[in-house]
Amino acid sequence: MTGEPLHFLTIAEASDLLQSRALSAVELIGHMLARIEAVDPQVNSYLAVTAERALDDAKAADAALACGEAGPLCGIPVALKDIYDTAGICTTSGSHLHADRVPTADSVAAARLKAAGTVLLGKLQTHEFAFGGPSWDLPAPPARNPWNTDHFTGGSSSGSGAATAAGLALGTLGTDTAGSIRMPAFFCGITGLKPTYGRVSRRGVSPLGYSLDHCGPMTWTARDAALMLQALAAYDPHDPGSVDRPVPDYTTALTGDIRGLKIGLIRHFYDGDDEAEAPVQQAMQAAVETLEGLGATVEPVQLSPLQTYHACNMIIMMGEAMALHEPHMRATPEKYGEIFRDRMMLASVLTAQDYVQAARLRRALAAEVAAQFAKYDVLLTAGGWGPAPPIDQMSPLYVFQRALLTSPFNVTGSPVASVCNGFADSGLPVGMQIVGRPFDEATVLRVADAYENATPWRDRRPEIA
Amino acid sequence: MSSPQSLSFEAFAAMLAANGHTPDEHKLRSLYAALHTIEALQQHVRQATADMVLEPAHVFRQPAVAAGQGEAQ
Repeated sequence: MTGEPLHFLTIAEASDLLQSRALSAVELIGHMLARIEAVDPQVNSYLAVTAERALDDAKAADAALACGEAGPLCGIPVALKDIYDTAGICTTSGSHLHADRVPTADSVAAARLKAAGTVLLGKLQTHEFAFGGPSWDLPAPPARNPWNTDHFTGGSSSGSGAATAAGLALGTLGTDTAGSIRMPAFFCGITGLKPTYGRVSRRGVSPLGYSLDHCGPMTWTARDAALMLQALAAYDPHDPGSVDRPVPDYTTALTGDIRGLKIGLIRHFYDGDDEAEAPVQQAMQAAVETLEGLGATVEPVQLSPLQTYHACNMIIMMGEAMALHEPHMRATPEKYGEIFRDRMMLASVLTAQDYVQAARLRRALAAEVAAQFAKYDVLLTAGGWGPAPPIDQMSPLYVFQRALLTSPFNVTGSPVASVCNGFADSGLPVGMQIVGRPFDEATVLRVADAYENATPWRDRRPEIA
Repeated sequence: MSSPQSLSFEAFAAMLAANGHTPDEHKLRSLYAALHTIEALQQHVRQATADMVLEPAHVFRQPAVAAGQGEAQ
């Protein structure tokens, strides 16, 4: 056994213990359910806990493990953002509009995790329809940051970030349309992976912006993200965005060796186009030095201004979201939260011309980033402006007021890992983004894993109990 | 941060109404005060797409051809 309490095991560590039968799935799941009962009232990460089903699934996992037929995720406790459909389990999208909606089929991602033998602990808090939050007028209060519960988790995969950091699930799923995996990963100090657009099926997941939505894992380490992606990545002919590309073995790519790798640093996004706070600037400088120390070459690259990417992302996202929600907002506006409604109302001044202009701009921006990969293996930039702000100081319209450092890579559909790269004096984490070529999650994860193993940040956990 | 909006308050209210939104006066005024944030997004996109031959990122593709089942097959 490792010295870690069971709830702070990584997926890789727990898998080793389960496979060797040093730990049973029933024991692990029982511990996690007790941990959720004791700790989650402080962080509000779960909307529903599926305890009875989890214990049944744990027994089945133990049976499979005993036969020696189980894969690396068998018996691993996971939880899903509550916009992933789960058969027979209410899937609310965090909205009164879907408060009683019980899907009859699993989303593809949920089904693939189930087939891999994971044990579902429950459904996780989300900003309303992956967009409106943090809100206090939804079916449940917003999730809280486990590092300091007065602070914001980031959104919209707020429960996924909080649960992963607090040891309330060993792995979770989030979704990302403008940064909704990577912002909670940044604020909660975890690893969030937005795979390439087309790599993981979106079927059965509530859409926000059809052409920008991504599904992906949120874990404590890059190695754990690789294990989850291995189960999730597959071509789905029924998802129009899915792409039929070979799926490599992601964990064998984690060699720890990044010597000779060329990294393009997009410094002007966080130091020029706008100014990140000192903890982010310092952590980025230190991360560059660490990566150079590991044998990579880091050079500055110049792209269009961050604000251009962000405007492109926001206008496409709002156009697609309004097309999706307009009929429901007209019929039952009172079933939406105030923040969701306000953002939609404000964005209703956008026109069809704006949407098409943004789509044209998207082609140019995607080409601009693609051109960098002729010279660089990955790109690097900051993951956010500063440590998590107090949750009660969040502006309802923050997504329009300041460019998100995450939004460029929804425009380009690139694979991106958000990785913790330090802590502010307040004890709150900060992070960085590692961006790869389309469908080259393996290199992104290799860099993230090498960095995590070279730094002490994965040894620190929230002191919530 | 604030800048003059190009839409009048009345035109803004009319656009919201056309989309089925009829907020009360207080809400309408608070949203109008934030309109400059959306107009800034519009300006970024409009300034950056002067090239007339640049096509949208997601253009129409024939489903059969996209799936590799075109006429030649």
